[in-house]
Amino acid sequence: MRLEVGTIQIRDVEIGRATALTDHTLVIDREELRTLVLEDSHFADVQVHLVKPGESVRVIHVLDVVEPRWKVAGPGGVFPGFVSPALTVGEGRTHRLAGVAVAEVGAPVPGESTVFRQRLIDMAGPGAELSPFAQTLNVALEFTPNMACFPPGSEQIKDFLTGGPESHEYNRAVLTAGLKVAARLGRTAREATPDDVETFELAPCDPALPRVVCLLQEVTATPFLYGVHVSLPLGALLHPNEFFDGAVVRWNRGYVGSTYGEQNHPVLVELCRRHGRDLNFVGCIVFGGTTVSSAEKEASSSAVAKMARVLGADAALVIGLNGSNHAVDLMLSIQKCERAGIKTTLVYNDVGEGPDDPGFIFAVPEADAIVSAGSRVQKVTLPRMARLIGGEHLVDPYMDARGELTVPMRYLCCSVDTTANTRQTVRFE
Amino acid sequence: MATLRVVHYLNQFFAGIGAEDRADTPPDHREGPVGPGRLLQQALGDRAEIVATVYCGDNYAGEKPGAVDEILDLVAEHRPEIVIAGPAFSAGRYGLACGEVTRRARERLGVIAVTGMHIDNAATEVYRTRLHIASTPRTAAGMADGLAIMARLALKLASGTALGTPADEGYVPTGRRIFEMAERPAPLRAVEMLLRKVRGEPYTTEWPVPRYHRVPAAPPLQDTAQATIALVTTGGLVPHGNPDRLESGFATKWLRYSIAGVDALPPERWQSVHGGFNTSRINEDPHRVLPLDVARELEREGVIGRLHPEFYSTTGNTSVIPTMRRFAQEMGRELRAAGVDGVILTST
Repeated sequence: MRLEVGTIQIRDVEIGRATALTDHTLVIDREELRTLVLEDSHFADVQVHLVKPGESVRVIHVLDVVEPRWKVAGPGGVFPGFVSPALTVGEGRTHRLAGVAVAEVGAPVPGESTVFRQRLIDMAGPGAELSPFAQTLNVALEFTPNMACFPPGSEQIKDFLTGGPESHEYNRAVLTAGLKVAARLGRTAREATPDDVETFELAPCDPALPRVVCLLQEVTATPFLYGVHVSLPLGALLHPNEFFDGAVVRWNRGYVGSTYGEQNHPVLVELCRRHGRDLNFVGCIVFGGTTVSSAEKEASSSAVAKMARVLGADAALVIGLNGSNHAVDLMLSIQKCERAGIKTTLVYNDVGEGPDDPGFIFAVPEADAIVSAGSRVQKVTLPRMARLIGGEHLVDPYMDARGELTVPMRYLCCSVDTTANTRQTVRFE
Repeated sequence: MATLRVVHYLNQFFAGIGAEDRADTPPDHREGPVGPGRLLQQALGDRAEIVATVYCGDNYAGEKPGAVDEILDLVAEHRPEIVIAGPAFSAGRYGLACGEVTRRARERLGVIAVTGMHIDNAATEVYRTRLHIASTPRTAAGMADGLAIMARLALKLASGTALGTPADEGYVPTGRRIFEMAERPAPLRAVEMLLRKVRGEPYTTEWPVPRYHRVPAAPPLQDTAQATIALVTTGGLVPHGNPDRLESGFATKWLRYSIAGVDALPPERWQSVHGGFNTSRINEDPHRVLPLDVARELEREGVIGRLHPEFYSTTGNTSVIPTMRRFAQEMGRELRAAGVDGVILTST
C-alpha cells in the first residue's frame, strides 16, 4: 500500500464569498458550511468561528478535532464510513491542509455522560504552549442541538460511560458534521500543488532489520474504524496509511486524543520514516475495549500477542492507556509479547498523584522500557482569556471558565494523549 | 567554603558498645567519628567534619517513649548542619531508628538528613517518600559502598544542586515527580528505546514499574459452620444519597454499615458510588455487589455459623496502593477483634 501525502501549508484562514484555496490562504464561505451541517436534523443551528494562534481566546467543550484532507487519487475517500464509502483506504494520494483544524464544540446534551468529557483550547498564554491546537488555525463549529431529538426521559444517564442512546446518536451526528466540514475544506486542495509530498509505503526491505509492530490500546470508548464502533478486545490489524486517510475516528472523550492526532500520528509517522532504514514496520494492532473478567483479559492479551507473532514481530512499540482496569489488559499484553520473545517499549501517560502513588494501577516486571509522555493529572493554571467560545462554564465538576482556571493537564485538548505528540515528561526523584 | 558540621547516628552495635544484649543502651554521644564513622569521614573528605557521634540501643530507640527526643537533644547539642544515620543495611529495628532520627532531625532541626539501608528493609517503605535513603547492600560487608553513597548524597543536598535519578545517585526512589520538557518528543525517544532493546544494547526506562508486595493467602477455614463471616466490598456500596460522602475514585476512607437483622438490600436504600464502571446493574439490585441475600440463606442453612452484623465498604477505583493497604490493615484489625473468622470480599 503506497500513499502519497501532499502537504499544503496554510498561512491564513479568512471568511469570504466562496470556499476556496487561494495560494496558501483558505477562504471559507460560512453560509455554505452552515448549510452543510444543518442538512442533519440533529442541529438547530451551528456557528462557525475562526480562532487563530496568539488570540486571547478560550474554546471550551471541545469534542473532536479533525484535519482537513481530501483523497485526490486512489481507492475510496477520506473518513471512510462517515463521508466516503467504507472501503479500505491508504493508497493513492491524499492532500492535507496543514496548519488548519476543524474543532467540534458543544456543551453536553441531555442524557450525555460528562465523565472525562471536558477539553479546552487556550490560544494564548501558558495553555497555548501545551496544546497542539493553539498552533493551528482553527475552524470551530459550535453546535446548537435540535431539542426535539431529546424527548422526555432521554435526560437519564442510563450508563455513565456512554450516556443515554439519544445523546450517543447526537454526538455521532456531531462527529459526522465535523468530518463533513473537514472533507469539504480538504476538497479545496484537490487541484493544488503541494509544498511537500511524503510517501508512506511499507515496501519489502532488508530481512535483517528488526520487525516492529505498533500496538495501540483503546478504552471503553473505542474509536470508530471505518464508521464501525465496536469494542476490540481481540484486536484489529491496520496499515498505518489507513490512519493517515481518516479510517480511525475518535469518539470524543477526554484524554484519548483526536482524529487529527490519528491522521498525523507521530509514532506511526516515525516508524514509517525509519522503515527500511532502522527497522521493518510490519503493521498496527488496535486493541481494547471493555473486558470485565479475568478470562476476557486473558483472551484479549493473548490475542494481541498472537497477532504480533503472526506478523513475525521481533519488537512491539506499545501505546498504552493508563488508569482503570484496562491497565491490566495492557500489562498482560506486554508480558505475553515478552514471553513470546517480542521486545516491548511502552509509551504511557502518568495518572498518579503524590509520592505514595507510583502511577501504575497494575504493572508487570517485563514492562522495563517505558517512555513517560507526560501526566494527565498534573495541574496547570490558565489565565483569563478575553473571548470565550462554547459556553461560560465547565461541567463535572462545574467551573467558571471566564476567569483564571486551574485544571488537570488532560483538560488541555490533546496536550497529553495517546499519540504522545509532546515533549512533556515526568521524572521521578 | 566552611567545613560542614556532621553528626553521625549509630546503634549500640556499630558504636562498639555491644550486641543484642546491649540493645537497651540509652542514648549517649562522643566527640568525633566512631566505628564506621571513620570511613564516613574519609568519604566526606574535607568538605564536612563529623563533630560527634550519637548512639542508642535499638530496643531503647524503638520501644522507650521519648527516646527519639532524647537522641535529638544530643544531636542538637553539636549544632550540626548535616545528620547522617546508619547505614542500617537489612536490620529492621535499626532501620526504623535511622529513619525516625533523620526524619525528625530534618523537621525539628532543619538540617540536611540522610540515612542508608537495603531496599528490602521494612523502614524504606515507611520513610522513602520523606527522606533520602541511600540504597546499600544487604550486609555490613557493603559498608564502604553504602557510606560513599550517603556521603555523596549529603554533600550534594547540602550544596543545593539538583539530584539526578535514583539509579544514577544511588538512593531509594522517593516517588517525587518532576514535571519537565524532554529534549526530544516522546515518539522519537520510544522508537530509539525499542531499537536499543531489540538490538541488545543498554537502555534505561524513564519510569520504573513498582514492586508489589505479595500477600500470602490465609489458610482455609476448617469449619465454616462454626465460623463468623463478614462481608467486605470495594464496590462503593453506601446508603442511598451517600451520607458519608464516600469518593467514587481515589478513596480516602472506608465505611462500616449495620446489617444486623436485615435480610436484603433494597435499591431504594442502597447504591454504588463507584466511578470506574457502569453501576446501573448494581443500583437495580445491590446484592450484585454485596451478596447479603445469599449470605443470609447460608446462615439459615447452617453452612456458615454467623454473619457479622456490619459490612465494610470502600471504593476500589484509581486507588493508591499504600492507602488501600492501610484500609485492609485497619479493617482486618477490627474484624479480628470482633471475632470474625473469614471475609467474603467482593471486588468490582
